[in-house]
Amino acid sequence: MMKKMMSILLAGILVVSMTGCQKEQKTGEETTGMTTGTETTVEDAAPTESGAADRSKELIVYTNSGSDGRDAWLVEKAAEAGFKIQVLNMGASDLTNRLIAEKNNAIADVVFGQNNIEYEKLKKADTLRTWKPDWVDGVDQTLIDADGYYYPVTTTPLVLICNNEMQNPPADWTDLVKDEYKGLYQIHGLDGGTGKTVFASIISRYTDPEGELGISEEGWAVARDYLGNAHKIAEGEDSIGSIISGELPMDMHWASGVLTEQKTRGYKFGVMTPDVGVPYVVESVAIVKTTKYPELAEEFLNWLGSSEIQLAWSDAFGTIPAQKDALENVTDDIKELMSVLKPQQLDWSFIAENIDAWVEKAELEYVK
Amino acid sequence: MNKMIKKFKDGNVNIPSLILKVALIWFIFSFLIFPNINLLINVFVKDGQFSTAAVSKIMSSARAMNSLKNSFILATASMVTVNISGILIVLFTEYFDIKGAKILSLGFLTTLIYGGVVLVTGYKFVYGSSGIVTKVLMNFFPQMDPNWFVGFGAVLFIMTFSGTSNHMMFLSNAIRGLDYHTIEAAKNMGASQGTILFRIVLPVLKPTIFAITILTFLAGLSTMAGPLIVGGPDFQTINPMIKTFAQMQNSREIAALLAIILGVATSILLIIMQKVEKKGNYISVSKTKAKISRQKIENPVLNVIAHIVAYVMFVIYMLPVVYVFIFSFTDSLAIKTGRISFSSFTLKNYRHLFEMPSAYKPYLVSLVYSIVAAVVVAFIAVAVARIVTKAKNKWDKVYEPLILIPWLLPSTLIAMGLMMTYDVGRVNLFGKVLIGTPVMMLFAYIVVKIPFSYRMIRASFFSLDGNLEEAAKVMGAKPFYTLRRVILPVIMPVVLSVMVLNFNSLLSEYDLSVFLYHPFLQPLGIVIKGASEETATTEAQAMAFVYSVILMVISTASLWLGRYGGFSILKRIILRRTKKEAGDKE
Repeated sequence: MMKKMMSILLAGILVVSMTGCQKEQKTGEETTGMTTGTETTVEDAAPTESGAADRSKELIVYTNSGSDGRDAWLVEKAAEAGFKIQVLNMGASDLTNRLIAEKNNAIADVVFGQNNIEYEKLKKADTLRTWKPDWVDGVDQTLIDADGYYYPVTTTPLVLICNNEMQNPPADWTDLVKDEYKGLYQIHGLDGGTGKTVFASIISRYTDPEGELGISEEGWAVARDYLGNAHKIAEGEDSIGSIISGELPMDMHWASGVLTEQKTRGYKFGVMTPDVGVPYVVESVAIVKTTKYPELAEEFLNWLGSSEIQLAWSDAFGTIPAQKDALENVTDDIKELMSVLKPQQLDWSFIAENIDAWVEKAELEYVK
Repeated sequence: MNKMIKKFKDGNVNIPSLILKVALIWFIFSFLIFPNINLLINVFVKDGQFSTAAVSKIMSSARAMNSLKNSFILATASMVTVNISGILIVLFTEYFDIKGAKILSLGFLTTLIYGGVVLVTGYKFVYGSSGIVTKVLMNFFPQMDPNWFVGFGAVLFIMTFSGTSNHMMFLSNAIRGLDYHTIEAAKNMGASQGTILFRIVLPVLKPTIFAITILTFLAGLSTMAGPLIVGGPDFQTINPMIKTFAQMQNSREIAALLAIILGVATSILLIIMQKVEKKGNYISVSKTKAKISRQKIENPVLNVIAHIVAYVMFVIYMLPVVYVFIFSFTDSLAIKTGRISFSSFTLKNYRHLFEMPSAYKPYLVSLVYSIVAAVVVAFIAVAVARIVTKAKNKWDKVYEPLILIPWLLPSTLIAMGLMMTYDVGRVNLFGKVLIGTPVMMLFAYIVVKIPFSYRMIRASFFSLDGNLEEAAKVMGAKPFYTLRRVILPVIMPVVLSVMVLNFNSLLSEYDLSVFLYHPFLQPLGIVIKGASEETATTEAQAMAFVYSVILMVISTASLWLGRYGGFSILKRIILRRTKKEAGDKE
């Protein structure tokens, strides 16, 4: 009886597997069919001289800032403004890899949230197109890509926070290599945005065209000590808790996260404010080269980057807008933090060109 | 060639089997060989020159060498410890007469419904600095370091008790397939319980234990979450490094080379195992197998010890999963610090999940992909195992090494290979571009699950009694009929187990999916990861636990359906209902 049941089941499974296969294949064809279908309608929908794009078309947005319901918020607000969008959320380096790999058959129309390092890679891989938003005058001109591919919407200063009772805290990132701080500061892995950017901001101070990978010997010595003396935060570790308890009193953190942590833990951190400034990760927007609706994409990004929307975004998720108008109206604790910070001047294209090689060397030789 | 034509004329060529073989060759070439070779060429050949820079980079990196060493130490050590705990739990639940075996087996099965970061975090809740075990120990040894659960010991401990899924699935099957006549005969001849266990029971289980040992070794080599979370600075393994480099465009050669080193080690182990395996396997040749009945341990002291060990292990298995469940109802501060107070309990996380627009959709997508992939993989694995075990010529044997190729590369690189290869139309796919289509991810899911499935299903072919097949043949059964009515019923429990395991692990797959998923069909793994990312606000980590608990529910359901006769129970219930309704109408 049991055996008979089994064989009936397997025969069933075989049938299902066949039809399953066919069905999957069919959906594949349908989608490709759909894309070709829309391709033909693009020409009809091409904007008229008056400039308004056809908003019935759906835009695909790739972002690394879609977690915690930010994607749903974006879809909802965009719909209110008359845009139909689909948001795909993924990690920063995954996003870059995916866009580069999809170069010949890109799904995305616009990119939102990536930082300069990632955009420089995308630019180099020829995946973006040039454009100019109508809100460009409202943002700090030093944050803008000179080639006109990507434009800033939010900034995230990366700061060193420490236990507020700490005696003699460091004044700059480079002070961390001193013996007195050995084993007392925490760093994020170099595979994530925070750890990578802070590392880049430190060693790119020691440029030397003759040096290995463009960095002087002194720079590599700093890198070795900075990475070698640090406590690397393990996945799921309570790094903030260790600051408060004083066990590991220093940690790097993104500014908006500092504010939320202060609120949840009821604690006020000490924040390091070096004279050279701190690295600002700038989150920008860009248009994918192969988009079928460039005008619509531009209209959408004009809306998304506007100070009104950026202020709402900030109020909802604690981000720091790049729009000066919006920045004046953010919540008080953001204002207070921003008043003591200033951006460190960094050569992003130099960093983007070399960062992977630096990280590779560091991962192989210095990371413990 | 002439021979072939002659064979055709004589009708000696089996047309369906020829078609099947051609289809398999096409599949293996298109998805296992070509994309991966293409990737390796891309990675190692720079500006038309074969680059060996990666070799010296790895050799001069103390960290890489250390991590490699640690990976091998962990793989070898876990091969021993996981087998000990795995064989013990199977004997406790299937072979010996232990009181409450049913409840015990529920505990031992928990490793099948969760894993990865969540599992290790669960262990950290129990043994970490604020965990219950640490607190109890501190009462006895106030001097001890609360952060004692770190390093090689901690990683191996977690591996030992979480790596036994394959034992629970396949070794249990094998024990149930034992012929009780052999045990009774030995008893009649006066053999002791120990002799029976070591001379009769374990030898028959050998092929299954070998297959599981290989899987355990591989799992040890490629383990990720354990060392990352509790390894500490002194015990990091190679896989996190491989993953970091695989994601960096210009460092992929290092990732590929490291993966190849692991692959070579795996291949050597496979060859050794194959050699040993050939040395002789025992099967019962009795025509009427008797069902095994549980053995009461005669020595009272051993009996008590066995019960104690079984229940201690049960507690070790259950604590982390219970903690994960409890913490899914707390806020993320509690999860981060590992400390719970009454005020930390909340239903917010669950409410948040169900309030999200179309929250069910990723589940549906992952469900469909995982089911289809699990079924197709089972089909391919059965077909190849059949061809290889019945090999008539040396060419049929070639399938085996080819089909194990995906074991040699990490998933990130497999995904990259598929993307690099099928972003343009290729002849072997009739000019179709795969990138950006929903089938891309399905193929990848199938590819990564093939080696494991094949290895387990092939092991089950050993328990086939050749005489059965011969008898069927003599009575005039066609090959397909023999396969369906004679062979499949025997190997079916293993095939089902493989399908359940594949389904469960694909449900929350991330490494492949992140590159290959179609924008409109976002799978669960992507959603979960998105909810628990580095910069995600504090509530995010709580969400990862909520998702895990829901995944546990789905996995439990699939386990019940696929392995514990859920289908037939459902069918019986439905049949009874319809019968009753029919009766009511009359």
